[in-house]
Amino acid sequence: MTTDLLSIDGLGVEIAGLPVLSDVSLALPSHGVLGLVGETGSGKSLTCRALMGLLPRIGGRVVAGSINFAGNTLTEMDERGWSRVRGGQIGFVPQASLNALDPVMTVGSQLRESVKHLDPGAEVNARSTELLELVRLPDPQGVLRRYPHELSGGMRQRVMIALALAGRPRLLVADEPTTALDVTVQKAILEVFADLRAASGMSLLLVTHDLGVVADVADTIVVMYGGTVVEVGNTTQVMSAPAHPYTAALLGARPASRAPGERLVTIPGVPAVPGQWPTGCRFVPRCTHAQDVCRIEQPVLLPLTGDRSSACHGWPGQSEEAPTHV
Amino acid sequence: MSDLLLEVTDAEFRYAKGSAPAATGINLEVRAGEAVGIVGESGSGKTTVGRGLVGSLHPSAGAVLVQGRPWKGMRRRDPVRRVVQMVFQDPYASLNPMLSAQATVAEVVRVWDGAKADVATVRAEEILAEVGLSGEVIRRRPAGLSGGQRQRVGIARALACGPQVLVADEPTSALDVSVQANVLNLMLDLRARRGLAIVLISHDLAVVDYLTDRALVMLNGKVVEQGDTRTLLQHPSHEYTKTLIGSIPGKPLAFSP
Amino acid sequence: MTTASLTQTPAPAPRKHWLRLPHWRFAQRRPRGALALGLALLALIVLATIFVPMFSPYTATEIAGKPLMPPSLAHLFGTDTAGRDVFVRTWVGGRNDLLMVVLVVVASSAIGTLVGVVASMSSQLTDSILMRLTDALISFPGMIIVMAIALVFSGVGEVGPFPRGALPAVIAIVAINWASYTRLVRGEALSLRSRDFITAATLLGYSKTRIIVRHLLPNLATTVVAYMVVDAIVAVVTIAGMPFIGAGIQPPAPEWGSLMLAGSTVLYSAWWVTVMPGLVVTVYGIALSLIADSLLAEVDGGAR
Repeated sequence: MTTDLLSIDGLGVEIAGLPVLSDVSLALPSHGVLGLVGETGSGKSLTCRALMGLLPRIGGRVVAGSINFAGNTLTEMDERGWSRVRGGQIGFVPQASLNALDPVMTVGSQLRESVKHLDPGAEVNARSTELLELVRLPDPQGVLRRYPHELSGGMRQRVMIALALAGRPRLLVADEPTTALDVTVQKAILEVFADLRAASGMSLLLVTHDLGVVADVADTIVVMYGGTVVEVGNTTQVMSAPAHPYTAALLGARPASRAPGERLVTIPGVPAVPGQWPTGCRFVPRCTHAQDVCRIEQPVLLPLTGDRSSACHGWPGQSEEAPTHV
Repeated sequence: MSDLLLEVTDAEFRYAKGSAPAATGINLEVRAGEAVGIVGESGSGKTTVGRGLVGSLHPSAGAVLVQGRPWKGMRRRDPVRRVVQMVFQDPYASLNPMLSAQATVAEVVRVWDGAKADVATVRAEEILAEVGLSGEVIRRRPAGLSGGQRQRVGIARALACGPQVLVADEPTSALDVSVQANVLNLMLDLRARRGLAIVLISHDLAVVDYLTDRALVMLNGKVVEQGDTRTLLQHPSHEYTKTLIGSIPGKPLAFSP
Repeated sequence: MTTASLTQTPAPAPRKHWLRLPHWRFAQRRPRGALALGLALLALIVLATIFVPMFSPYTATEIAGKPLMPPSLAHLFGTDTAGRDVFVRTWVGGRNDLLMVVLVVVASSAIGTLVGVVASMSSQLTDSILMRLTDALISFPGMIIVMAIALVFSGVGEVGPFPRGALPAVIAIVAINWASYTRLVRGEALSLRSRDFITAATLLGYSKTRIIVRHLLPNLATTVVAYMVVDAIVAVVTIAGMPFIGAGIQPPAPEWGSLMLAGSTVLYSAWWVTVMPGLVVTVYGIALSLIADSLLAEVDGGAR
């Protein structure tokens, strides 16, 4: 698998001695778009933080596995090496970034500072304008002169993406980039991502709790639950025939998946909390299909037909088209 | 008595005298048991209309009537106040951080039914059970509850005074999709069980389509299209409605588990 | 910096005061520990002010030995220029100070909070009038008002446990001090008022009194208490400064400020007269700032 720009293999993370991620694996080829999906607490944001080398700030550390990016093993690098890669080759749009801009500096001065730092050869003003054009902000010159509070939520999010693009990254990681935005704005931001990928061949890692958000953009979907990966597959296949009951429930929870007035699929109970992971499958307490084997043995991520994999012992009444273990 | 609960005629809303109106030309009727959607982006005026419906903002022109009476000048303890209650967007800001779920709901019962503390506590327990909260959870303060649980407490608080209309302003947009499903199901149940009318304010057409019979589409403070929700979605006449429909992420995919 | 540095929201502006209070980093990380330590130190001081005067062989005003004797077993803190025992004077003085501080802080916070909450819940006109009044009080040179008020009440003699001059000083300080609580409380209350749970309370037809008592005040409590603790440090300094303008506790009754002032003339030959009470005051300040920091850490951390 030498073509993968990013590969995470068997990643395990602990915070203050408590395991929060275990055996997380995913691969993202160059030019690829990967959607990392799961509820609050599934470990998707932590995986991002691990990738960005931001774990030490929250007292976490990698205890197993590795993160490989463009031929480098990030997990073997020291803080400085990692931060060089992070700023330059991996751009990051953090969660809840709508308030992340400095309120007392203009957009221009913040953007120019990033460009100066991350793209030393570039003509600062021209590049700043270009970055705002890349994220399709109308009137880039005007936006550069404005302060964050003068911009709408959607515009601020575009500025955040422009900032993440300053170092001409090969991979852009966006954690819940559209969560607080109107659907029309969300659509526009997703189009920006699709454009960026087409224009620059950049890879994208999109993190979200809503499968619908990544359905239009991502090639591959990775579903996380309880700090581990439960399903991986091609987007259309996962959306039409999920191979894990958790994925099926996430899809059935979307209002668009049901006729008006018909009850939505809900997941009983609360998400698995680190430190209280059950033995066996972590989804067992909330799974409506759980069998005896699920309570004893934790299923591992196994390849299925059709270039997919899932971590499930299988369940009766599974969709006909759903793949089976090879 | 007619079943007309809320009646808005040619209403215009401004936040300050002389400022530009945040919403104009609003006409809306809400009858018992109906579910009406108000769709639009931030800044479209949909939240303003919601505030007008619950009486926290008075129209600068036109009228908003609850069971035939205007909000303006209504006394604090007028029984008509019970008719309309609100569910808020932000599950963090909408609950008093110092009060437990049970205390929050019991307070409403005490104030409106003049019940003694112990009676109110029992009644609060029943109402919280109706929204799916029971056991030790209801003695927790908001900080100890999940987003979905907080939103249930918010709904229980609104239910506690026995309303006939629930105005919900983006009740699920701060929640995960899986949690949103729980809250939407609950609202369906309440409508079926209590015959509650629902006004759902949302930017998400998928949610509005799922829950409502009739909808208004708002843009820049005006209603650009209104009618039967299904017709609106299948045969939108206004360009903006079409844009909204095109923005629903991951368009309905034929799928059943 | 990398883009990651932008993820941090701007730090809130540090709370400023002309009196530089120490800030304890560990109070942010371990608020409980800091609170316990602060309370323990404070308890030690309070207990000493109660029991030392009871069991000491000397009284605060009697000549107990030769002047300016260094600390010894007989006189733990030495003796002062008149030969009085500094140890017992420190703790009797502490009792006078603490009684005044408690009165100042409780009275100003009660008045200030009430006015602040009422202003935040009132019509714009009432709010403006109340706030202009507090602004005027805050901007007025405090010591002049204190002097004037202390003079007006100078006839008040010894009342209960308060020596002569103590009550006029308390009245004078409270008269200007409440305004700072009003500013703080009104700001907090206004931001609380914009939160949806207050909107919900209004829609449910709750009375103003109920909203204030059940929904606003409990949520203001931590902030006000934290400020009271900080204020208790400031109040000691204010009280200690009053002898300079001829107000405050009248000699020979001891008080921390006047004790240290008296020793300043002999600082190089008899350091203990100033340093020993000074150490006690320092411990007092540390204890209160630990408590304040742990409470503030709770407020900031628990905001969400």
